[in-house]
Amino acid sequence: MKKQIVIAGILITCSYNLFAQTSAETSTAVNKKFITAMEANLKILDTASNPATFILLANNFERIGKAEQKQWQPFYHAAFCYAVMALNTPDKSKTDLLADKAESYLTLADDLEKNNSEVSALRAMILYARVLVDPTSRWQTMSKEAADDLAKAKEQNPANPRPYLIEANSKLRTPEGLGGGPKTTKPIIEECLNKYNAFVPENSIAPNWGKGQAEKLLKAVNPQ
Amino acid sequence: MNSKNLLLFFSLLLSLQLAAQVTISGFVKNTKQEPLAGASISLENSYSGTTSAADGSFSFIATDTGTIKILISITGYKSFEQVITPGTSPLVINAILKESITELKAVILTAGSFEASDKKRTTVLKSIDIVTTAGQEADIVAALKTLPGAQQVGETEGLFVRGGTGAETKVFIDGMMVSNPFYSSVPDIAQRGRFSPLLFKGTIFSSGGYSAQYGQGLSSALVLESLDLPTRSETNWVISSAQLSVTGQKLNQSKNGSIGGGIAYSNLAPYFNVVKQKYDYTKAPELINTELHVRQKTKKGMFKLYGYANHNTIAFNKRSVESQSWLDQFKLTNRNIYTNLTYTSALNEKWKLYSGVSFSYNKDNIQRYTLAKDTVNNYFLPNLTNITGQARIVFTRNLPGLSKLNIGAEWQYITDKVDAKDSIPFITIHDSYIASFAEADIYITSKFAARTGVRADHSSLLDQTTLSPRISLAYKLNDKSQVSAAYGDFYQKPETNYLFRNRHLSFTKAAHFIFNYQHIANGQTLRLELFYKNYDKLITYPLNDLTKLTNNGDGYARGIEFFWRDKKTFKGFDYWIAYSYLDTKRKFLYYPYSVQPDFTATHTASLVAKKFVESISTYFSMTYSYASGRPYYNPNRPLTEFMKDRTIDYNTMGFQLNFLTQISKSYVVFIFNMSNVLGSRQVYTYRFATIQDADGTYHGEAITPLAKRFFFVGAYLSIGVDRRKSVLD
Repeated sequence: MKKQIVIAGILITCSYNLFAQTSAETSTAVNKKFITAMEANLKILDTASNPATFILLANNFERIGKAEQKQWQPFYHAAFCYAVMALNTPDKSKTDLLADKAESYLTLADDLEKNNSEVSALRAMILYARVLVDPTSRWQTMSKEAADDLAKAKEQNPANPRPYLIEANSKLRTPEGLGGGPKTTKPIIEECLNKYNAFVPENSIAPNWGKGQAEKLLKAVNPQ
Repeated sequence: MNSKNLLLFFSLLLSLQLAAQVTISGFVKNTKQEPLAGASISLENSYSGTTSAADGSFSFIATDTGTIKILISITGYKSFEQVITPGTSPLVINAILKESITELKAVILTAGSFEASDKKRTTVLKSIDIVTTAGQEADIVAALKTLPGAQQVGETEGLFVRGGTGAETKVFIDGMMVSNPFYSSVPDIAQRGRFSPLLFKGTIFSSGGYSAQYGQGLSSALVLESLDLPTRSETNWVISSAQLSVTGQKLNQSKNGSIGGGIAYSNLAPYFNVVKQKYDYTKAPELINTELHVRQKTKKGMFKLYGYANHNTIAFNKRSVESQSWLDQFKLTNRNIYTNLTYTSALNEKWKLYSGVSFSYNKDNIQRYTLAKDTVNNYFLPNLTNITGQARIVFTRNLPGLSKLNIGAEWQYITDKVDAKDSIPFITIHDSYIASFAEADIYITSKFAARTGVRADHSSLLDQTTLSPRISLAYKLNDKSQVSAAYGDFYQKPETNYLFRNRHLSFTKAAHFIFNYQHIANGQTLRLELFYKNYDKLITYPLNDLTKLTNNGDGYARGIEFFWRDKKTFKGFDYWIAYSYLDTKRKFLYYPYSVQPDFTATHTASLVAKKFVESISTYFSMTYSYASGRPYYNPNRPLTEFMKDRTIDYNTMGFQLNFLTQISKSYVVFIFNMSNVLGSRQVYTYRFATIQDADGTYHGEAITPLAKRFFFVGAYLSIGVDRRKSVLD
């Protein structure tokens, strides 16, 4: 099944340009081509789980972003693909490489869209991935930095549930003595879910991930 | 695939038939013909493209026409570019990507040096290791004593490295030499370093063969790199059995500048009331110091200003070694100022500038009396002043890959003064010391790198110029291991107390040869190092006659060192083992002939273990160090048996506990530290009387720590200033 998705993905991607082939494209046509391409890739991203798919999608997003030049979302989603890989790779010696790549995409997104809550939140997520490599030496500095990014993200868009999700995720992994644990996480995740329920993405290609994970987290902090 | 997807799929396939199109296919491989999966294949400014499969192959359909650039890229490799003109027939592109030389993959020039840094990912130590290594309260040098190459000398401050004295290790902050990095010497009590490890983001401890950028350390260089901007504003408090301090730093709203400062007061009187000391303190060590730092980012660079001022006093009485009924009185008042201003900037894409000036002032008022039943038998009351002004400039040229060229110069103007009532005349010496250097780091491939440099030093006081070549090579055997080798000549000015007596001395010299093997894999590090050092032109004089100083001394040191760090085998448990074997002999100072110096032990070993117990948020750390008996000079023996005696073996075990917690919004770390947990008898060396007693022997005494154990209890509070509201301003 996954393989099929990948193949479909490749085909979908390489055929994007076919939709709006005429050289005299109107700006809406460009926009339509862009939106369609993004939507197709985001659909695959929804169910993506293996690194090969994430790399493929990041490459697709990168191509779209570079061709469009003015859209921040492709770079955001490419950064997201690498951030997820950085968080989940079992080989900790790879984490920093993946995080570096994620950060390089995120910088491109940030350059195009200043003061974006989603970008700030994703930066925090990348930092938390880095902390996992060597918590004892990195926790103190990097998690402070990440906390600052999350605070910024919440300020930039109070309705965005993702900074709360990222915060809850990290709190749950933090020992109780350091201000973490299920008890402190619970109110955050509840607030997070409230925000998810009220959240309306700006458009079909804006970040809109994490609700499922938030629901899982709520189960994790509520002892059965 | 659901039916909707299928529909999409077929409609896409259908649309494929309608446009002008060409298939572009091929493979992506590295120079070893290994397939590269996940590479991005794209046409410039086009959505067209794909990703290479597990076997490195790719194929996609492009509808672009005309001349277009195809780009193939993957992390760790240089991008592949080719201009193509898609026509109607399929195109085949077979791309061979060359590995790019990245910091993560490239060989590292490691011979002789241990680096603790968080930025570079391949370092053996992290900055936090310096702070959390047990047996000291955050003293950089004490932590470095657990590494191979360093001796366990407890009676004198400084790092004694590979047969060198403490004065042969020079300390540098942001490239500039620090004249008085330790609190002023007190007889037979080692003093701490002046600077907190929390000021630095990186520490390089070189036990030899170090870069041509640094000079004046015959044996070793300790290179400290100060912190950049803090990540947030905060206030830190330290409340401990020895000290009360508060420091604060404020980050400006645009996050490009910060200002910080602090004040610390330390007084050991209450502690000495509880834990009795061997000496009778008439003034327990008391110190007050203030700090200031300003950091400002500019468009292309950064300014850093650091200022430090300190005042401390210590006074004690002890029974004289000369006679049971005599009393030695000692009093020291020290004032120290250190400032350092640096500016770093990218001049253009290729050149970078590092520049700095520093100023330091140090004054010691020393009073030494020997009392025989209330009559002064002997006294020595010198005032020692050191003023050092310094300027340094380095230009770095980035070359392809990681290669670079450093060209730089430094100038120091040093004034040393001594005045003492009666005993010696007022002496002032000035030295204008100039050095310049050029050094190239050349990465021939990502596996083979060379650092070659040369340094010229000139001292106006000695009226002498020296030229020191330095070379270091490193070769990567595979992903995990590498070998490196280094050679270098090192020159150092004789110590000030000799220059006061004789200005016609010359530079002392050492040549270092180092061979190193390093293996780093999955949280485990193994290092082996072999070295040979040759000393020449060391200061020497006839026993008890300091007026006849010459540069006729020499010596050698050779040995093997072992280091093993393992964070993997026991989950959550981190430990390292260091062992040094040292074979060294010197003819220097009052030594009548070449012998093993009294500050060296043949065998030195350390075990450091750390564990963070998450359930109780507590960080435990333990350090055990061993040194075989050190030689000491016993005047009761004939001169043919000079330095024949050995102290007992030295053992020490330190324990430290850090309990981390959060009290409302501030982070708190409670620290408990204890030295010599096992209560082993520790003898550093022996001192002997200068006059014989009634039965014709020189009385001697063991130099030991002032108390069996040292305890430290403290709390560090870090209060973040909540400035969330100002973020958007």
